Amino acid sequence: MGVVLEVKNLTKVYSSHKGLSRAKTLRAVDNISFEVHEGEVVGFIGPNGAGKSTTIKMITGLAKPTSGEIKICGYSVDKNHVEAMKYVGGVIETPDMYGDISGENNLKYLVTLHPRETMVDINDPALSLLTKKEIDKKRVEDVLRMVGLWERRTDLVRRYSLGMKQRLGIAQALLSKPKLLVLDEPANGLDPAGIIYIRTLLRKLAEVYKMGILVSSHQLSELQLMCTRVLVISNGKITAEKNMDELAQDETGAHIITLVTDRPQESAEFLQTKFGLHPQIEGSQIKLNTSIDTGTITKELVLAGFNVLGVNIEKVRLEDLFMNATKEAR
Amino acid sequence: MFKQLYLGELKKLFSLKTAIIMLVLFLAGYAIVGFSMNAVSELSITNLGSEVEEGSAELSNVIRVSESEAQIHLGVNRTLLENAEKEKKELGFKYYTSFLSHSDSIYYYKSQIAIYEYIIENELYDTDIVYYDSTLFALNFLSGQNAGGYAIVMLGVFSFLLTIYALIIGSGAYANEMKNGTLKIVLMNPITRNQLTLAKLLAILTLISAAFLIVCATIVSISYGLYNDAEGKFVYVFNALKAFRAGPGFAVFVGILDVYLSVIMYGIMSFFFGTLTKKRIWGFVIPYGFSLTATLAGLVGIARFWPTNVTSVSGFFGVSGNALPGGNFFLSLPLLIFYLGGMIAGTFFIFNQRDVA
Repeated sequence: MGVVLEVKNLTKVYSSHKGLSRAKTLRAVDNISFEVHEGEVVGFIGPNGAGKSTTIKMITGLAKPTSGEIKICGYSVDKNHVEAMKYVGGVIETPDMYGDISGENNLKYLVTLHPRETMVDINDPALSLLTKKEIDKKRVEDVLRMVGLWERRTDLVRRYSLGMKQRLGIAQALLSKPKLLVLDEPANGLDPAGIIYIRTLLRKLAEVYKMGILVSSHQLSELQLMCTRVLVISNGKITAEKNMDELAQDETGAHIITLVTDRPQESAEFLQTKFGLHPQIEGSQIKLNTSIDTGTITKELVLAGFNVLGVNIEKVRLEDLFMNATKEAR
Repeated sequence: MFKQLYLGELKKLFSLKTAIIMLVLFLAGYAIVGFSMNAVSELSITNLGSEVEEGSAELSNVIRVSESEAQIHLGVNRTLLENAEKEKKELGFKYYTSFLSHSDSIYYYKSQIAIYEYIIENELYDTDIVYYDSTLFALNFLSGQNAGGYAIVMLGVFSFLLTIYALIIGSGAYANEMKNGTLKIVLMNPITRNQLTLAKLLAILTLISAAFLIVCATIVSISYGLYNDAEGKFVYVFNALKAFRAGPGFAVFVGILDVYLSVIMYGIMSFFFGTLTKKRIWGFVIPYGFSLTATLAGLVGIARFWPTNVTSVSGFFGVSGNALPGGNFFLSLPLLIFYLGGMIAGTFFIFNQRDVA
């Protein structure tokens, strides 16, 4: 798998002067290194102020690194800016667009800034016969359809909802068929259907178009469904780098288990005495938050003479609930 | 690619609403000023006793001398120049700080000498010689009703509208995109920051020049449509050095150049300060502040270096003390280039170094 993004010893120091006092320096990003390969969706997580946005801004050339190097498809963002920028698309912080023109016109303007060669797909020889203008037009239509904004393309951007702006932002990032897609909180402002749509889109972009995608987000459950790998950044340093499966296991080791037994009240009391847990009873269900594995719990319950009618390791899937609830309306 | 970038910037900076408002202000203002100017000039003609006819050269900046008178004038002015130079030596730096005579008397006597030398050299005795003075030339419209004077007065009146338009365009070019966050999506494209700055700069200059052309063409065509050129032998003195002859149209040309340079200066200044402070309001206020503080600069003797003063090239083509104390064309021009070049280079530099978003 080819490397689309290579970050090496990246450091960003902010210094702030206050009056005549000595300048205070803040190491927002401290000597971090990582890679993103093609076809990979990498989650970039960390608390507020950890340096996520700063790193993303440096990758997209919006902020200047204090030291270190960033290469996109082998081109240095600093030294070979124009080449590097041909292969990257992104939405940084907020999906800001020109509000006084339509979504379509925003894209029509931005697409002209890309050279023809990055727009033409080698796998699509039919495209190579078209003029730049025709390619641009087709591309704008493609991305608008891709993010589901085609019907609303003529509306002014300032009349768009946040979710629509987010979609337009992603459409903008996809204009040049980038090899690296950098997204900062792409699910912000999207309704659950939109979140699923974007998640499916991103996975498809990674799988089918072999894009390398770097997503920063606070919505861990969302990232869990989307990413193949996560990077955890804290205080400007990368503190963990894990594949998704690993992350699911060691999230402090705890998970929520729902049990259905024939005698909920009694089995709850049994679990409390046996394992020292604090089960909650909801109707016929018992909810547990524990790191003890389900096998041990069911075995002990059965040995104690309870009938275990159902066991479920719960994953919070609010979208499923929403999808079911809104199925009829749709 | 760059063409697309430039066209994009042009579209972004051009606001139809602003353009229409400015155009309406211009036309309405023109109607009001035009009518009242006509009334004032009619009135002054009536008071002067109806001897003045349209286009006649009954102008206050006219010299008519005999050979002996010319020699006397030359001698007197040379003496005055000597005295003034002596005074300057005594005053030292204070010479430049004279607030009340916000003009250079040495410059004035030198230009007087140049014009009498020209008369003697060309034996232009007992003929009306109209000498150019930016202020008098305009004022003469009131008594003489000539196309050039009318055009210069109107240009002076409406240069402030052009200045405001230049400030509107220049101040927002960077600051607005910074505020709206749209700079991010533009910079994430395969372009360099210098290309973007250049595109913005060219777009600013294009829009300001277009507005200037519209205003100028309207004023000049109306003035030449309404009135005839002033008659007479027109003489100009360049930089208090040498007199030369040119038609009254040259005065209009110099007036136009003066306004154009000033408008360009405001446009680039507002672009620079808007970029430097990231706030549109400062891109508007600081350049305006420079023009408001020009008098204060005169008080401390640095008026001739003041950014908003170095654009007044018309002062260097007249027989007048309009030039600022110590000022001359060969000081103003490099300063003008220095300021414009410095601010343009500064904008490129700042834009290039800054973290966006």
